[in-house]
This record gives sequence, structure tokens and C-alpha cells, in this order.
Amino acid sequence: MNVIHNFPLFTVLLSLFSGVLCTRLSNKAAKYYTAVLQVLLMALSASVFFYTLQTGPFTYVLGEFPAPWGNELRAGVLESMMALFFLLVLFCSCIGGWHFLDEDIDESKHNLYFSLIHLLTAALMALAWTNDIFTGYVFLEILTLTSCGILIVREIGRTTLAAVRYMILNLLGSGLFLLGVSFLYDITGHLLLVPMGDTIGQISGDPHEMMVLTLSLTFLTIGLSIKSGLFPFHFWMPDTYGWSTPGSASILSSLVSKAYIFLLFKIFYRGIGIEVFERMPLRNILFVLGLCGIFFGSVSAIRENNLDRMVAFSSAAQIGYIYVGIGIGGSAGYTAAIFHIMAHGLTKSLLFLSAPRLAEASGNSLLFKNLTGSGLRNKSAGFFFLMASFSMIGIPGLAGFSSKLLFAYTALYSGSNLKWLLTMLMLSISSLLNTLYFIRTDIRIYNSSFDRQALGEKEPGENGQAPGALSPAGSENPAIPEAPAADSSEEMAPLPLSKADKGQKGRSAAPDYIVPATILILLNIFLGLYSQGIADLINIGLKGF
Amino acid sequence: MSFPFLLIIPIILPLVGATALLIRSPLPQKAINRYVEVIACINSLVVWYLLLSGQRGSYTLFSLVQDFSISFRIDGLSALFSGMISLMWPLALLYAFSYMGEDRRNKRFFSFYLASYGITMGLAFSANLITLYLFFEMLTLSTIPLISYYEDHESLYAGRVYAAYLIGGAALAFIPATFLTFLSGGGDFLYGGLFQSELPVFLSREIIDLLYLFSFFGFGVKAAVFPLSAWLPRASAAPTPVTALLHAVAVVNSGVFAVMRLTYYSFGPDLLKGSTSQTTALLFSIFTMVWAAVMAVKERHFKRRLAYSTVSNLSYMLFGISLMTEGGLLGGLSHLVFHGIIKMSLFLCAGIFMHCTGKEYIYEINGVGRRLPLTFAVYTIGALSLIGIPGFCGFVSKWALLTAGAEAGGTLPVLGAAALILTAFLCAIYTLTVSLRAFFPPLDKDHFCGQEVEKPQKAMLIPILVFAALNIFLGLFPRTIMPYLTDIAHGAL
Repeated sequence: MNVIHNFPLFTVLLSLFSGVLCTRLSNKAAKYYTAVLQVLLMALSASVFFYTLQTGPFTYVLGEFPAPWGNELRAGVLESMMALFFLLVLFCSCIGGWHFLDEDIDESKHNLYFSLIHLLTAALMALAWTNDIFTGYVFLEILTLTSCGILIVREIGRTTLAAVRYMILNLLGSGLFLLGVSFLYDITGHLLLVPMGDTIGQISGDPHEMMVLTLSLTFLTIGLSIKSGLFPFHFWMPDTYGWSTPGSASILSSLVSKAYIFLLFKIFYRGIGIEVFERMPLRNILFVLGLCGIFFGSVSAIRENNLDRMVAFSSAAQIGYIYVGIGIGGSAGYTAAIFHIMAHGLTKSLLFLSAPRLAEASGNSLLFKNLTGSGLRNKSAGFFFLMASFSMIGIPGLAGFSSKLLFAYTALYSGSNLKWLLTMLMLSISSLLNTLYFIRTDIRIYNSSFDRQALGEKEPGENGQAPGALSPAGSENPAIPEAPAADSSEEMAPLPLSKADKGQKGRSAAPDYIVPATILILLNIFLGLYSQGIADLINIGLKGF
Repeated sequence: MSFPFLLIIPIILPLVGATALLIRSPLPQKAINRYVEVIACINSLVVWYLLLSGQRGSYTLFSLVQDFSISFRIDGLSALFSGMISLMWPLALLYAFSYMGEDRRNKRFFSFYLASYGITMGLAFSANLITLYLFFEMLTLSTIPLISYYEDHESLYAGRVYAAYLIGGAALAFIPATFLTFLSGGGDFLYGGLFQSELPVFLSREIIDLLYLFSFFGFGVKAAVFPLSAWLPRASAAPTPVTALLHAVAVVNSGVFAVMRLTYYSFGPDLLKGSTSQTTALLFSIFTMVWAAVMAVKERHFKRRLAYSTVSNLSYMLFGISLMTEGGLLGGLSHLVFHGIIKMSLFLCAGIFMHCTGKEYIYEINGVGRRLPLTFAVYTIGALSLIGIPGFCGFVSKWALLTAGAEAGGTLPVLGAAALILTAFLCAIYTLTVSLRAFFPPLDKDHFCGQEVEKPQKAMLIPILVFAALNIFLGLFPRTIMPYLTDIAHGAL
């Protein structure tokens, strides 16, 4: 057995043990240890990726106990690609969120935060590799608990409220998932996905068994839909993503919800068998719910007046896209869905990392009225936000556009004119809605008249620079206009006004932001330009999935 | 000798130049002006070199998914459009330098102004639907900052309305663009349509009609077809160089250009002739002609009145296109060129008026003709040409459209020809009243009696004189260009 066969298990175990280790490390050590470990895990996943690309997928049997007693990990091109993607975004989100830890998290708990991140990594890795539905359930719970943890670690009342709500919904989802699993176990007698799929293939003619199967799949799907935020279960998103510390928001929106979808997809594809799944009406229900999610997510986003909450609602729309891809089905549909998981993850994490920096340049307020001109005060954040919003709108050359193309292609060959037309109409309506709220934001953050407003409403004081000097040289020491309305609407403001000296915080060119943001945007452009290559890889992965 | 890769130079050069200017530390206004003008002139020279040396190869920059690729090619239509644009841009820049004066926001302004030059070239040279779509979107994005230049409430709102309309329209056009590209395996433009031999079996009549209407209204948003025209009068909140060059020529004509590409080079007129979609397109364009002309008569803001006139004239072109005949395409093409020249000069005159007097409404115009004689003389020439008085170039294109409408026969084409004559009267009302007020004000209402106004700078007068000269020259000698346009309309180039 090649040594690479052990790597999937290593990624899980290493992160689990690191979680324990981090509780004993100092804050600083934990921070750097996390970054280093994530790079190491990326190397492991990358080697699995290249290995499976050459030799095909392999199954790793834990402890050499064969099915049906043993537990299995399975690694193919698709799994290792997802693992690599999870780790990359995780790495970028962690580093991008460093800057806000001092402000958001109690000094004594930084290492515990990183310990939670490691446990979360372990859960993500396990969900990517596992071939056993019950292992999936266990790590699902770990993922739920750790994601609540990284949410509540920022101790303000709103996150506590959001975390409690998030946890109740998630546990409801887990409960439904467990019900579904037990039904499946009942009719198939297997927990490993491959033999389960074989058994279902044999019994799929029996109407009674099919009824149980439908029921259990409904439970599974509703459970994971609640967790991933499919319409109509998307209402928890703005609170969860909007109030958490930026690193967590980025992880929760671009990874955690995607990991649930990946698990669901794995169950559909491998555990149920794709032929059986495509015969079920469930597929069409997912399609319709996805379309509704696209529409209502965007409409809710338009109504928001807080940047983070707006971005959070746009996640609901993007989750809708992924389910539409699964609902259309066929290898093109799954390719589009998985491509969109990656495209959206890269874009959304960039948005969530950039938004708080724009807020920081605006007196720590995420309200639109205070963000005027923030893209000129923090130039790098403005630029990255602009690029990410272009990707969301679907400007050619960026990942968002390529996934739109893939969806269009999928819809055209779905074999149903109604589905094609609905998808295409929803694609264009959603682009329009995305435009409405993202372009509105872009125009606002690049509005250079902010300095006049600020100077007009408040005396500039000793750092009264000339208005003209602000926009060109503002990156060095941006004069932050004290948000005049921030106090009156304190209960709406997601971030309490920072007690730290704002003069020191004009770190718009901070490497802990520039590096991850550059990685994310380069990957985004890479996905946008070489989408055919990526789609081919996903296709190869699907063949051996 | 053919170097297809040269095609990307006129697209890349302004984009790179603009980016460099945008991220550079502040420069004195003079340096910005010189830099921008030099790049624009070099770019125009490159374009003309490409056109005259007869580059016909296509160049693929890269491939996206499946059959999607970003590639460029010059054919007759793109040569016409790019030639026209490349003549206008340096002149408009010359005007813009004196109009914009000195302002801290000018660096940003000229960056985006220059960038949109490159993007328009990309649009003109695009060889397939998806490239067209790419530059269509980019053109919208690069012009939003130009509209919102003044950053007051009105222009910011105008920018948002503009983005919503245009990107929404592009999103609608995305549907037929991807559809045609997938079905034809690349969607490379071909005169007469992509499906010349056989139609895919599952493509029913209704789907074709629906798709054509999506593309007509989706790309037609830039050509301001009713009911999607509200953005254009609102976009007059931008500085005049933007209104003149982009919202009378480059942006709106790229909408018309895209509809031409869709109709004659992708769907093909044979496929569409006599269909519901043709009837709908004709109906909407005829209605827009008359409606916008009436609105222009009603409007009292000088630039907005001209903007409504643009809406009306763009629908002339759309009318010509949706006749689905070669004559109709010829009419549309000639009006594309001539209307661009006329409307440039009209807007630039309006800009001089606003710049020198600081006023912007038509009732404030009384008597200004004696203070700005040259400007309003050029304005009157433009107005006469726009009405379609023989001897000016507007007549040539209107004649082409009228004959095309009459030749096509049927109720709607003839109705359209009648609407053309009706709107000529309305046009006379809304343009000549301005001249009359300027030169012959009522005695007690001469606002400029005994009042001095600022003299317009030479750099502002040169462009309008050039356009007036072109106007008369092409009106007297239409043979210099019409045979070329006829060749394009017949698919010979």
C-alpha cells in the first residue's frame, strides 16, 4: 500500500490532535501553528489529488476491518479537490481574520478559538473523505458544535442570540439527518455508502421499500437543507454571518454550509445511487426550492442596509444556485453545482474579509450611509471588494461568470424546455438583482465626496487635510470620518465602536489581509479563465465518485 | 500580410494606459491631458492601420468553457463602427480637456474615459457572441463612474439606474447568447445567420421568437428602446463629454451594433422574417420613435431634450434593422454613422452653452446666439441635418430608411415610414425652437442683452467645426461612403 493512502486519515487525525494541542499553546504560538498546519494539510491533500489523478480513486479501510463492520475513507479526484479547496479557503479566512481577533475575542481565549478551528478542520476533512454515513453524522455534529463555537466566541449579546438560534436549527437538522440515517440502515442494513447504494439498487423496484426510502431521503434532505440554508430555511443566515468575527463569517458561509451540501451530494450520488435518485420527485423539489432561494435571497439582500447582512443574504441566493444544479441533474448539473461551490466559496470569503475592513475605515460601522467613500480610504479592501462583487454579478473572466455559463449549459441539455427556461430566467433575474445591490454598494464605497460630507458635518481638527489630499494619499493615514449617525443607531450597528486608537488602524496595506485576499482573487480569476479545465477535473472526479 | 494578434493592441492599450493613470499618484492636469490624448491618438492610428491594411484573420485570446472563447476579428461592420469611433474619440477628448477644467476627480474621470475607448474597440472587433457580451458588460461598468462624476444625489442615482438597466439588459441577453453559442458550436458571427443550413430539431418557432425578443430588448437596452429607455435622459446628469460621446454615440451605438450582430449575423433575417418577433420589434421601435420625439418636445432641459431625441433616432436604426431586409440594414448603418456625427455636434454645442453660461434650461437660452454665434450656427446646421433637410447628411440616411420601409411593404413598415416623416416634423419643433430662441429672442425676454458671456476656448470649437464640416461634406457627397455601406449591408465585406 502506498504511503499516500494514509494521507486522508492523517489530515483528520492531525487536525483533531492539533485541536487538543492548541489549548495548551500560547495565543501567538497557536496562531502561527494553525497557519503552518493548514499548509501541511494542503500539501497532503494536494499529493492525494495528484496521486488519484494518475491512479484513480482508492478506498482506505480503517484497521483493516472489511465492510460491513469496518469504517472506510474514500479518496478520489473530487474528494481531494474539495479537501484542498476547504483548506485553502480556511487558510485564507484564518489569516484574514487575525487582525480582528484582538478586538472581537477575549485575550484569554485566542488559543481556544484556534483549537475550535482545528476541530472544524477535522470535521471538514472527515466529511470530504468519509465513505460511511454514520461517520458523516458524527462529524456533522462536530461541525455544528464547532461552528457554533467560532460564532459565539465573539462575546456580544447578538452573537449569543444568533448562536443559540443557529444551534437549535442545526440540531433540528442533525436530528432529522439521524432519523433519515436510521431509516436507511433499516431498509439496507448498511452504513457504508457503496454497499448501501448496491442494496438500494436491488430493492428499488419494491414500492414499500421505495416509500421508506423516500421518507428517509426527505428527512436527510430537509436536515441538510436547514443546515446549509436552502430556502425557506435561509432566515438564520444574516444574524449568523453578520455578527460573527470576520474570519468566522467567512468560514461559516463559504465552507461549513458547503460541506453539508457536499455530504448530501455524496449520499445522493453514492449512497442512493444516481439512477434511483434521478427517478425521484425530490430532485424537482430541490430545483424549485433552489430557484426560490435565488430569488428571495437576492430580494432580502436588496432590502438590507447593513453590508455584512446584505452579503449574508446573497449567500442564500448562491446556495440556491447549487441546489438548482443538483436539481437539474446529469453530470453537467453536478459539475455546475460543484464548480459553484468553489466559485462561491472563493468569492464569499473575500467579501466577508473585505467588508469589515471597509467598515473599519468608516468608524467601524457597516451601515451603508457610513460607508461612503470607504473604498478610497482603504484602497486594498475597496479593490478586493469590487472584484468580488464583480464575480458575484457575473462579469466575464471571473469565477462567477463561468459558473453561470456552466448552469446555462446544464439547463440547455436538461432535456426539459421548462427547466431550461426557468433556470435561464432565474439566472438573468438574479444577475439583475445582484447588480442592484452590489453596484449600489460599489458606487457608494467609491464615492469621493465623502470627505466633503465629513468635513462639512464635523470640524477636521488637527489632521485637517485638504480634501484633495485624501483620496490619492489616503492609504497611509486615512482620516476616518466619525460616523455621525453611528451612535443614534447603535443597536443596529454590528460592531461596537472600537476602543482602540483609530489612528493606528489605518493598516490598509496589512500583509495579513493582502496575502489571503490576493490568493483568493487569483484563484477566482483562475477558475474564471480555466473553467473548462476545472470542469473536466470535476467530471473525472464524478466518474470515479 | 496578416498579424491577427495586432487586433488586441487597440483594446489593451487604452485599458493599460487607463489603469496606469488610475493607480498613479496625482498628476498636474496638463500632464494628464497630454498623456490621455497621446494614448488616444496612437490608438486611433493603430485602428486605422489595421483597417487600411485589411486584417481579416481572427485572433483567439483564450477559451472558456466548452465552445466559449474570447476572440476578435474585423469584418465590414466592425470596421465601420471602429473607424467611426476612433475618429471621434481624440476630438471628444480635446473638447473634454477644456470642458472639465481642473478638478481633483479628473484623474479618475479620464482613466475611465480612456478605458471605455479600449472597451468599445473590443466590442467592435468581437468575433463571437460571448466576446460581444463580455465587452458589453465592461462598457457598462466602465461608464458608471463617468455618469456619477459629480457625485451629487442626482448623478449617483443616475449611475444606479444606469447600472440596473444596462446590466439587467445584458443579463437578459445572456440567455440567447449562450443558447446560440452552444447550439452553433462557438457562435462566430456569420452574415445571414448561424443556422443557414438546418435548424436544430427541438427548436420550436416559439422558442426562437422568445429568444430573439430577449436579445432585442436585452441588447436594445443600450439602444434605449421603449420601455427600457428611462436611463438615457437621466444619464444627462453626467458631464457633457460623456453625454456627447458615450450616450449619443459609443454606448448607444454599441447597443444598435449588438442588435445588428444578433439579427443579421446570428439569428439571420431569413429565420426571423414574418415572425411574431419581427412584428413586436417593429412595433416597439416605431412606438419609441414617436413617443421619444413627443417627450423631446415636452422636455425643457437642454441636454435631456437632446437625449430624448437620441432615443427617437436610435429607434430609427432599430426600425431599419427589424425590417430584416438588406435595405433596412443599409438604412440602419447609415443612420448609425450620420446620427453619430450630428448628435455629437449637437451635444458639444449644448455643452459649450452650459459651460460658458452656467445655465441648462431651454427657456434660459433666449438671445445667447448673439454671444455664441459660432456655436449656435453649428448647432443649427446639426439641427437641420437631424430633421433631414437635403444637403445635410441626415437626409441621406433618412432617405435610405424611408425607401427601405416602402420597399419592404406591409402595414408596419409603411407605418414606420410614416412615423419617420411625422417625427421629422416633431424634430423640427424640438431642435429649431432652440435656434430660434437663441438668435431671435422675444424682445423683452433677451436674457443676454448687454451681458457678456465667457468665450469658448478654441479646443472646444475645433471639434464642433470638424463635425459640422463632416456633416455638410457627407450630405453633399454621400457617394464617398454609401457604396461602402451598401457592400456591408449586402454582406460583401
